Amino acid sequence: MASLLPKNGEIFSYSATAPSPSKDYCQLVVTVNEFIFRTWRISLRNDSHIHPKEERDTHEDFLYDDRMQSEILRVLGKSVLNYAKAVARGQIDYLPRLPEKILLKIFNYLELEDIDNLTKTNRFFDSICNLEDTWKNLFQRHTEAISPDIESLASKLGWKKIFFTNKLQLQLLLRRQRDDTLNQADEKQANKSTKLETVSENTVDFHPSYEQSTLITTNKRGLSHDESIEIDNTENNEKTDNLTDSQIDIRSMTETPNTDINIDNIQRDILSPSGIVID
Amino acid sequence: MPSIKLSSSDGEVFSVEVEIAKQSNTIKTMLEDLGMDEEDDEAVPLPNVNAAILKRVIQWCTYHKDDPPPPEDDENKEKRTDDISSWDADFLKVDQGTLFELILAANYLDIKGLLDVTCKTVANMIKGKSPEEIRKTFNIKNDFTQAEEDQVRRENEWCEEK
Repeated sequence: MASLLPKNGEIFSYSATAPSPSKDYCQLVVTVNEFIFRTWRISLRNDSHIHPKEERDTHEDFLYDDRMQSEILRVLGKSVLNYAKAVARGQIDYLPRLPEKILLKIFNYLELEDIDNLTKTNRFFDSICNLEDTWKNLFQRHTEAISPDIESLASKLGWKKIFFTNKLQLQLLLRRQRDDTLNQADEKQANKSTKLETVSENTVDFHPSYEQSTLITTNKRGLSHDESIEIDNTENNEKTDNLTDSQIDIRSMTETPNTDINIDNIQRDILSPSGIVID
Repeated sequence: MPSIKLSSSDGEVFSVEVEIAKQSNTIKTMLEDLGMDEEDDEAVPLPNVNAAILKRVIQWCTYHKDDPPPPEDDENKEKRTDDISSWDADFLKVDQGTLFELILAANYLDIKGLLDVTCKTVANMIKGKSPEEIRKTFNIKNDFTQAEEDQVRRENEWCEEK
């Protein structure tokens, strides 16, 4: 039965200092063959030099060794004693010793409530149940296939967060992410262009792609955004473009912080070469 | 029927029909890619599987030799655990040590059908149990401090609100 247990046969070991005022140091080592309990007595008196003590029991003997059990209870606590007694009866905790890959496979068969209950059993399961892969699998099982967009959103927020975000919100986040990347591309282009025409063309170019996102309501518009919208309007007025459309257009763009820089850039670019002044 | 010899970690040699042994992708690859001759008298060493477990694995593979190959994992599909055949259920009425050793062996030998059914069995042992019952079933030691336990409970309130 060796392969789930370490090569040296050690199932577990605990050590601790006995509760105050005692300063004794104790260690319990359990191997596949025996229980070893070691005690280092610490005394403040010089004259009493005591050698470390070691006691050994077979698994069966341990179950009848009241003295060793009470020592374990005193120094290491009740949960260690219960765990040790179960091991002595042959109940070794194999489950947390499984490779992570297999544990994740088992989690695939569990319901959400079961994962939650596992999380509450101990630290190990708390950490493994909160692994990214666990939640990615759960997300995959409860929704459709994972798109690259979701994948990149999850790399920022984590899969557990994605899992518990409702679908509408998720759509919103995805749209923002898309707008972000588009705006970044826009920003790069805007930085390069020095002529007014190029800038205005760019804004018009992006028009169709923002149409979808006009449903998003924005409350975050600051003063600076309003200004930049006005500039854009004047520009559009000159060009006799559809005014309302472009306004919404810009609003959806101003949703994300990146657009601030973007629009400022456009503003600078518009103002400096041609000299248009806002009222 | 051509057969090959498999040697367990503790040196016991089993003679198995090639078709049965090939349910293990690991052995199949060894035979096909590494050019191990089927007529060869030398035993295939399996250093990660002991005789007791290998015997059970062969028993499982022999019973399932005419099964269609298991379907590829479809992640979108709802995973069922109540579709274990009665023969498999009887076969897996073993102590936990043996069950988990079988999982490891199925994983190492890459026998998907056996790995699936053993993992399902473990999942069934977890399903519907409270944290305390899970701890008892698998002898999992509660190493949370009281503060940590409260924290975990708070973090997972999503599940209790239902």
